[in-house]
Amino acid sequence: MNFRSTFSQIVWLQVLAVGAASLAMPVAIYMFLDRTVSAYQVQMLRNREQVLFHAMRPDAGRGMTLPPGLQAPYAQEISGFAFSVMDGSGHVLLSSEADKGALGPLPVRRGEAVFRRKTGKGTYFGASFPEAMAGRPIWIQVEQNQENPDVVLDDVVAQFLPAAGWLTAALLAFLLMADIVIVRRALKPIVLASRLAGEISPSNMDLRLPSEDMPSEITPLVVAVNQAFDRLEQGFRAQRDLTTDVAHELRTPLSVLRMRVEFLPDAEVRRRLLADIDVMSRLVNQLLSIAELETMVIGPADQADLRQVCLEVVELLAPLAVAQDKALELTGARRGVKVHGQPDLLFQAVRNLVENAIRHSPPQGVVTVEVCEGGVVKVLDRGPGVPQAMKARLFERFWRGRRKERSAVGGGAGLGLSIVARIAEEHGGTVSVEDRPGGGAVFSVTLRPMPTRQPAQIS
Amino acid sequence: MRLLVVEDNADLAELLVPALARQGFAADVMRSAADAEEAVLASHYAAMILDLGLPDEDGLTLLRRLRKTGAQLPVLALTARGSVADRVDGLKAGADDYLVKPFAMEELAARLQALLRRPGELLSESLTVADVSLDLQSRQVLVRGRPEPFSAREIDLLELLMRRAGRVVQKGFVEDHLFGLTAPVGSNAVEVAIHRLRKHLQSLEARATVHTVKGVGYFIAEAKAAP
Repeated sequence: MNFRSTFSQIVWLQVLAVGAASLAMPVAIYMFLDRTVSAYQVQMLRNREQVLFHAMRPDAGRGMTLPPGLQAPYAQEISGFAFSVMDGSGHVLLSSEADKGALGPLPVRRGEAVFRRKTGKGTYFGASFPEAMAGRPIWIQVEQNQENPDVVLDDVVAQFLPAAGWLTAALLAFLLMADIVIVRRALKPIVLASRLAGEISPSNMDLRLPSEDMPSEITPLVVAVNQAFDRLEQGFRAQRDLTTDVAHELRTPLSVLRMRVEFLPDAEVRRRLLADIDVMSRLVNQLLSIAELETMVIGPADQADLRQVCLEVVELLAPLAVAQDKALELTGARRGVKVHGQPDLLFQAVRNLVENAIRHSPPQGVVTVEVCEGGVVKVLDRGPGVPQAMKARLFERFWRGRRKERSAVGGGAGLGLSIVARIAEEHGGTVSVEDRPGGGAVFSVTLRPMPTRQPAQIS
Repeated sequence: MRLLVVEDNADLAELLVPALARQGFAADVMRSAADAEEAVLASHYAAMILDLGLPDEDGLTLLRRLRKTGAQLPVLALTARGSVADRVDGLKAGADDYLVKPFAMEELAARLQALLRRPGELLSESLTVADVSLDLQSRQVLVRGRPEPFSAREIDLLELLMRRAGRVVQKGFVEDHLFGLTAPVGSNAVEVAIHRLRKHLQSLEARATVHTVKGVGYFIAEAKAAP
């Protein structure tokens, strides 16, 4: 049980409170009732005592007598009533009982007192009353058998306890249910808001938590969180816009530089400088790609023809490869290969891999782009290959730190492979590198194939 | 034939004029959208190179307005923005082609040539790659200025490749244009034709070479100077 959840905290504390209340409440009510009933019974006993006291007279000896009219009802045990009259030192002067003894213990001090006793005949509730007869102090004790059918008050109290217990428990259980429903309802908007918060990401930054329906205690938190998101979004956008702007701003001076270099008379110097400018231009493009990637969202219905994408990349880069005395070829699937994804992003990924392969190919080297039916594209080269130690970290994201380590190992493998990895990841795919038998490297991007309907065969 | 260059960066504009002149284009430079609009309405330009990031107005806005007033001239948009969305916007606004900075002068020249050769425009032009040129009117091939005998099929093929010099022409496209429906299925007629043309150019020691991109198609480009 997770007690950090407000809901379970509330429910458990409620359960404890309900348990305690359903015990305490009947007991409290019982005690109150019992006291009331006792007082009532004492009052009844006093009334009878008064009747006795006013009726009895001293007899000839040291005893007392009752008028005959009163003797009969008290003699009958059936009423469950008994009395005893004693002098100050406890000698019985008159009694309804045959054994002529005290009914209960006499109080030590003079004053009204109650007593209870249990005998084979029943449970008795009695009281001792101090009186004075002809200047002598006497005690009059009266008692009532509680088990006599005429006495119902104590039965009512006794039966009340279990009934009240059950009733209280049921009522409180109902309240508990109501509480659970109320708390659940109150927490529902919070659950929804947290689900929504889970969807907020750089490519989905305009989402905010709803403050309608939110319990008013939580609203300030929601507002504060939303404001925090606003500030983050601002900072993030500012950074991305800076990247984009810088990249764009660099392009015009690069054009100027390129033009000036194209006018240089020395062919060798010109060639080298143009190569440098190409490197810089590529970096600028990659910076833009990264900025763009952060905002791209791939819809679940987006699909691309992997073969078409590769065809376009090869078309674009083949003349460049040839200009460097290298070659580029497309092999594998002869028909379209439908994959889940965004064509422009996949184009960038394949382009980066092919550019990388061309760069690392020796003169006259052939770079092969192979499209496989299952949604895999392989780029094979005859370059120096990738050292074992570098393979694992080749695709690490440079923009998530570790740049220093990276450049130490990677030696300028550049942003290209990070972009490839990021694009593959966005597509729910993977990228890997292996040694190519006979020398060189094989870079594979595995994508999720689109479920294809079998095309009608035309013979 | 004059071109209008609309570019606010003084250095780039200053460099573009002689670079275009080298490729055989005379060009006027305008530095703002307002000046450019005036120039287009006042005189007849063969084409416009339009930088989209102008100081007084967005190049696309100017282009949209020009198209609305009926300006027909081909427009090559030049931009520092290069995302897919930007490209689509540019073409929607009425640009005929799109070049992202920084660009190679050769590329710019090739795109301009392609624009100027659109249907109805300057059909009498000739195509040139390195020291090989093809007169489209007389269908005569000149290597280093000397007429050389090429078969009709070779000339068709050469035209196809030279129209997109430096860019890959897909095999299927060559097949359709050269043989149409007459090509027997599964034949290697295109390979044979390409092979012949390549050998022919080599035998003439031409500096234009036909390259094969396996699995995709072919392209013609200037051969690198021998080291």
